[in-house]
Amino acid sequence: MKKSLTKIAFAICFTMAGLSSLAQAADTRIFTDDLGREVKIPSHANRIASLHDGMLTLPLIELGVIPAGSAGRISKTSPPFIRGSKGLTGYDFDNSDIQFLGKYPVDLEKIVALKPDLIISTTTYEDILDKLTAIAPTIIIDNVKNSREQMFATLADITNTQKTLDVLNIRYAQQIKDINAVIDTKNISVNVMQASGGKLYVWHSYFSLGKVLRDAGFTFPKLVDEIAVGERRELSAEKLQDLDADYIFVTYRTDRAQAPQDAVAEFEKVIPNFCDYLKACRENRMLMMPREAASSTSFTALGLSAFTVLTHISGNPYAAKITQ
Amino acid sequence: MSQTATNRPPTAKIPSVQDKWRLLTLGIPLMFAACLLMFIIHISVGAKSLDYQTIIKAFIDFDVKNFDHIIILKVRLPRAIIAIAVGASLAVAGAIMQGVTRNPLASPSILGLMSGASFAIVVALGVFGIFSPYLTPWIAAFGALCAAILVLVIASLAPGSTTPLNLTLAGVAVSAFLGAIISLLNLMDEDNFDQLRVWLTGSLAGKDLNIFYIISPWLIISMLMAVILSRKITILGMGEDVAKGLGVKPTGLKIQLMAVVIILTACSVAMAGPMGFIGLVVPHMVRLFIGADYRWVTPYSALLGATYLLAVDIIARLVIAPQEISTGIITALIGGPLFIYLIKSRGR
Repeated sequence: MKKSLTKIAFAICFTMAGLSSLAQAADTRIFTDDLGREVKIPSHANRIASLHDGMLTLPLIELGVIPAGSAGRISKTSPPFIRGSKGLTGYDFDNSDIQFLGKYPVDLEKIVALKPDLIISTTTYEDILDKLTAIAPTIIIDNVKNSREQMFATLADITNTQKTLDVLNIRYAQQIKDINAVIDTKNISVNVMQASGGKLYVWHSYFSLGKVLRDAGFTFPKLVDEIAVGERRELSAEKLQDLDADYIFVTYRTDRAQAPQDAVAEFEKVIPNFCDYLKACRENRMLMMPREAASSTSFTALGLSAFTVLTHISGNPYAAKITQ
Repeated sequence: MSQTATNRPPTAKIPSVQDKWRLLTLGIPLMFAACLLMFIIHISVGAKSLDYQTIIKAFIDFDVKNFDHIIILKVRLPRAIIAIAVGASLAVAGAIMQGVTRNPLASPSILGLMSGASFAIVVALGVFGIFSPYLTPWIAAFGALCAAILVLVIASLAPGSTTPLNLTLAGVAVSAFLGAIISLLNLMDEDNFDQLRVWLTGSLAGKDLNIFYIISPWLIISMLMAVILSRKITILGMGEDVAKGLGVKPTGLKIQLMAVVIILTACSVAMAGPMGFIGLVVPHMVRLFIGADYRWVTPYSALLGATYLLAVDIIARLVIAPQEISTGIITALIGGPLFIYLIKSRGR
């Protein structure tokens, strides 16, 4: 009798285990990541570890997926933070359940303690992929090869949030339409610049702001158009006037408690009285923007950039003069 | 031996001391002319092509509204002047160190002085937020002095005391240690240290002459000191016993020379960040042609150091124009192979 009961108990255990693994198999799917690896991932991951704050965590939050843990930044003046997130999504480590997994490099022990069911990383951590996969299924997204739209699309695919992404895309498309409705973008040149360490920095497209400006159809200085898509150039101060445009956007870092004056001071170090030699600055068409809003991988950032462009260029007498 | 003597042409003449002095004296204006030529090239070329008329007009009829004139007088000229000051300072500092320690590997970078100066500036700026062109040279000097003391203490504790090898090893260890702390500080506060990243590679971009004006009295005094003491460095190079016999007090002289080296290194780091290899390569080049008489090594090192850094900075500005490479990266790229070549040349 006792033996029979034991056999029945074992049979029940095996059946339960079998059913559980069947259910698990049904609740997983194969995803091919940017390294070409076929990874079995949960269909509905509940505990995602995001290993890049700006490129992965921010988009995930905007897609409505709050990761269980995220890489972040540290500063001597503040607790760990997700760069740009509080201002763009409202979420940060100090007001949510998102666990801080360390800055670069992430803390593997913290990831283990998090017990994630999915790890999403950029190619930064390709070299420790074996360690990450030992903790949980790991997907690598190539942040260099992929545009930010592609990053969003991949994340939406992983997290089954394509519908949310569609809504965000529709909203963004409308914001671009709103710009095109009132501004003759093809006849207005723009540029986004930064100055640091005595050099000038320009991008083919400066992240969110650059995407808005390109998508809206503004023109750029020749030197900027010559930069490869996705690339940045450090230029000599001597090229300042070649970077002039009808409108110049300059960003300053709010995460370092910078003010617009700090960004201007950097330009002064490059060329004393630089404003006298840039038409856009002389004629008060150099616009200052917080860098997080201009550079984050975020639809909110795109919206803020679009709104800044719309409100500062439309209705400006100079814009009217250009469009005449 | 006798065959060599027999084969020597009867007209061959060994240069007399007077001939050598005459040649070396003539070489000074030639080196000065080379430096001046490099200075003219430096302010004539750049990311933006400017004709000679514009360049001359910028000097004789400066128009503040003309951007080309601004490029000449506010971008290229300060950069060239700082390149001259930094190149000359580091080369003389390196030459003195090599003479005093009788160590051909001695230089402000190898013996840890440059790391000490850089470390002090990084801590002052990155940790305490202190940045003042008036304070920076003093902070750098304090860092260089501390590093020098640390190197001396470590070397003196080693068997054989302050031998050239022990000093070099101690310098390398201190440099590596301070470099590691800089990296650690960077990791702990990456965002705030971002601004120091370019400076730490050694850069002449975006310099104005304010810091040069503040530093120049110290540079002039220490350069004059170096020239005045150069005869004694030659004597010291013959060994401390010989020096004592000739009335030179080695300890006092070493302290004076160390002060000169620290000021020169601190001034150059405060102006342009750490620039490697100049203090190592230039004195080697000078001694290869001039010999070991510091009455000549010092002025030649100053002139060649200035000319060398001007030339290197021209390359840094032009090689991928309109982009720029930090000058310190080019000094290392050129200095490394050049140093190996010089070592091989000496061996032949």
